[in-house]
Amino acid sequence: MEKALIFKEWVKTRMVFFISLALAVCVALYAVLMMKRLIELKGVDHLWLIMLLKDNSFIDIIKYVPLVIGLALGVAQMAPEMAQKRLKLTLHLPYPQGKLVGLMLLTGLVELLVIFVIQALIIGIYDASVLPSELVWRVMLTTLPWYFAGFTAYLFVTSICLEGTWARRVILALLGIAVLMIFFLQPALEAYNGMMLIILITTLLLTILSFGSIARFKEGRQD
Amino acid sequence: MKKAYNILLIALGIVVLSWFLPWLYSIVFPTAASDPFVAYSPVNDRMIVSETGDDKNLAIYSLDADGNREDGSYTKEQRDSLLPQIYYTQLMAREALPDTIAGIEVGVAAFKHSQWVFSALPRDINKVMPEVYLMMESMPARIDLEDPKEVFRFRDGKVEFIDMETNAVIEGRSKRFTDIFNERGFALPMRAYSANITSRKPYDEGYLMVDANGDLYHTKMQAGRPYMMKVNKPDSVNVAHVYIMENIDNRHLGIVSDENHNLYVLERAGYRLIPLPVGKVDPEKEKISIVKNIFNWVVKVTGPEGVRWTALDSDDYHRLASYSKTYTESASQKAATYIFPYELSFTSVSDCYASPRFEYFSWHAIFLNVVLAVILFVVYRRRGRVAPCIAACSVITLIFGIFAFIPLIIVKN
Repeated sequence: MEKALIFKEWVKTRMVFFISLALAVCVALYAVLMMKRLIELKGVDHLWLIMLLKDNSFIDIIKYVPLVIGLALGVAQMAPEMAQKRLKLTLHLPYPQGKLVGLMLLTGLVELLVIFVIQALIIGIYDASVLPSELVWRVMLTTLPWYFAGFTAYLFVTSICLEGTWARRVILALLGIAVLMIFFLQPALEAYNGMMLIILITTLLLTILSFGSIARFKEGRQD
Repeated sequence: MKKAYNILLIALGIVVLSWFLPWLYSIVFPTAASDPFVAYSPVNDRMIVSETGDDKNLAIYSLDADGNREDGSYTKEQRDSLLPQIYYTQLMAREALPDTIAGIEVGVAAFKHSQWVFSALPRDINKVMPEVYLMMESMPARIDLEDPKEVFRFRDGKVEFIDMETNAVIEGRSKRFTDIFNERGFALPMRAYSANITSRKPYDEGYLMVDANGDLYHTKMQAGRPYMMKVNKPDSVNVAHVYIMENIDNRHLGIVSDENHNLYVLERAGYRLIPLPVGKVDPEKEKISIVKNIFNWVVKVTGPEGVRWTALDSDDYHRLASYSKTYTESASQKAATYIFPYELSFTSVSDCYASPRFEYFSWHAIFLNVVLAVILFVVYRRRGRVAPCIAACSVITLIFGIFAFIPLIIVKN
């Protein structure tokens, strides 16, 4: 049953998964190419100087990519359930509901994780070839909250899509926008290091929203 | 699960509104405070204040020794004559620049050569610093300074130099610097450091560094070889922050603060650490700016509560005069204390970190909190909620006020 459920989620999301993966890879390669171009024109020491003196990580272009991918994957996975009234059918499957929703979310989160890891690896491997480990970690730690913004966007979108009433959808959307803004308030490098544990716990707790939306849907709270 | 969902929704609502409502309020009711310009006159030995009042007119007046405003005011032309170290170009244009002031021979060249401005913001030190440090060559072969080609880092108790071009460790230089760090007794980890990495300066003094024991060191690279000196200081001085200076007058090496919030100047000659009588200064919370000229220094310290100026003699740093101004709350800020029991923010003007900070706790808001809790109590009774739920939500509103009231009223289930 689990395999069939995962396959169902994969069928729904594979198109968006591959488009998102291509987008993530292209943007990461673009960031790498920009660094390579700078090195060829001005030398690698110029890259180091800008990183150290101007607090530039050269990867600002990927900042909102995880957020967009999280939104897209959430919509691709959950919108058909509601638009085509498939959720009722899904909930009637002979499988525990909690596990069912958990498996759906897990599929989406793993897909996001794969995309984010591949993008981070492209940047990390290139940076490691031209920069010392201290600066590579500095860059990667700076990107971490952006990737968590992607997971957060996904979890809010799934809960909004699974919610049956428009009033609650609006509340969830406003909360989601406000929470996502927090991830982009401070542009300084490694600014979120001290907040990573709070971000991690909050992201884990946000999975509850989708379970809550399903519970409300089952109670018949629909417009 | 449904209970957890509702609790999470309310908790998120409280967090978001605690941040968003005060921010929205500050946008709707903006407050701005501008500090007057304060300088010390070597002509009449008074602090001269130039301040734009509420009527948008510039008022120029002097202060007595206690920092109180003296009767009368000055015109801009009179101010030019009282502050020749600042307005010497105006005086030159009017052919009114004297040859000597306070027994010191002056001229445009003397003014220019002896003046500098220093500024240190809390944001400059309250941030995550990279753990590799650029090292310039202080004695370049071609005289003109060049951009650095190497960085160093501390690894396994050793100093490691890395060539930026190859990203490889430079063994010889690493060993020489490690040896001198050990000889001078530098204790890792480094507590603070300061360097001015740019080739657009008259000369390079490398780094001022503070080790784990609070001792102060001066380090630079001369012709590829290490130079390192430990600054002699009283044991009671535990250095916290350093700021290197490479000014044209070549007299000072840096500004230093200790853990007791005292401020010092480090003179180049003999590495003399001299206390500055400017009161307690916390560089992590207060902005420091120093305007130095041939006659005096004016040290300005700006904190969240107010601003204070201290004029010091240029030669021996004794205090000449001081003046302070406390910021007052605007009507909208006072009103906010009656609306919001606290404020949540994730960023601050004094640092480069993102983290939740609960500030501006106000007991005045308890009145509104009580009213909102009573309204919530009545509404929940009408909605037929169970007693424990009504009690819990009323208490939450009593504590979090308007931030809890709005989500508790909106989220109906």
